[in-house]
Amino acid sequence: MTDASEGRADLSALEEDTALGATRVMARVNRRISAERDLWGGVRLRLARFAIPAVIAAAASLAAIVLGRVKAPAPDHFAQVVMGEGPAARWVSENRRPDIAELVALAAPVR
Amino acid sequence: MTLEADPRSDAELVARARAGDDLAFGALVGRHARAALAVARGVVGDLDLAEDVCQDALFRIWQRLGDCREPARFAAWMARAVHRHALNAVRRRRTAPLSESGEIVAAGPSAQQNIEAGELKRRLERALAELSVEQRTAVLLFDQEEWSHAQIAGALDTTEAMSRQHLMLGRRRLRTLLGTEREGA
Repeated sequence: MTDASEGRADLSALEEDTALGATRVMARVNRRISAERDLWGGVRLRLARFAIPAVIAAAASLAAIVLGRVKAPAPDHFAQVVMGEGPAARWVSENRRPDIAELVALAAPVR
Repeated sequence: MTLEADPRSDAELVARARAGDDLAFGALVGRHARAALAVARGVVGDLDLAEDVCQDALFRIWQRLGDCREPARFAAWMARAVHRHALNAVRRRRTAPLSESGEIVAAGPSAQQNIEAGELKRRLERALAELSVEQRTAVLLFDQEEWSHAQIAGALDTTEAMSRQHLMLGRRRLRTLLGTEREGA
């Protein structure tokens, strides 16, 4: 050999350690990636199980409140639905107490 | 599983890995793990520490795969990232290039052979530890991983001429150190 720097350095003694080291590195990287995936998968699962239903429930409640404000039921609607027609429906819809004459008139057919 | 034998190009594997295909990233790691380890070992010296640095760097590479602008040149991009990570690790840990103690010589049925192989390995590791980071990295990448000077230059942000220079000086020093040890032994 004319120049000691020309030929390749013989590193074959390190070969076994290098191959094993590379295999260990691959395995460790794969494990870390799997763990990372599991972590995020778990977070998403918890979100799906708890957070998302909670958000839907909150949105539904909010919608009910908003819609309720837009169209609140009036007393006269209630009276019309429950009592139909007659003096009692009028008392409710006009928001007043019945007077004696009306009560007497209402009771008269029964007597 | 022979990940190294995956016929897809680095660019294809990077694209698949970016889309969430972890097997594709596994194939990339399988293809380039030795080179990544050689780069890390070139900087930190010790193989065990190089493995720690290397796996940490590769995990970060997986997390930041979107930053790889030229997927076809993934190997160079990866080597640069591992190189930076290893330099930072050395700075953080203030680690000596190679521990003189704590070497394990394999023992077993063919104990004499193991002792001789262990001794040779130890001498080689000691000699490598005497090289500069640049020389060691060039020797490991060129002589062990069979990278070209163009690849080394691209990966380590240097020139091909400098890579040749580091390799030549590294080999020369390695042979001197091993010859001296042999004479002294």
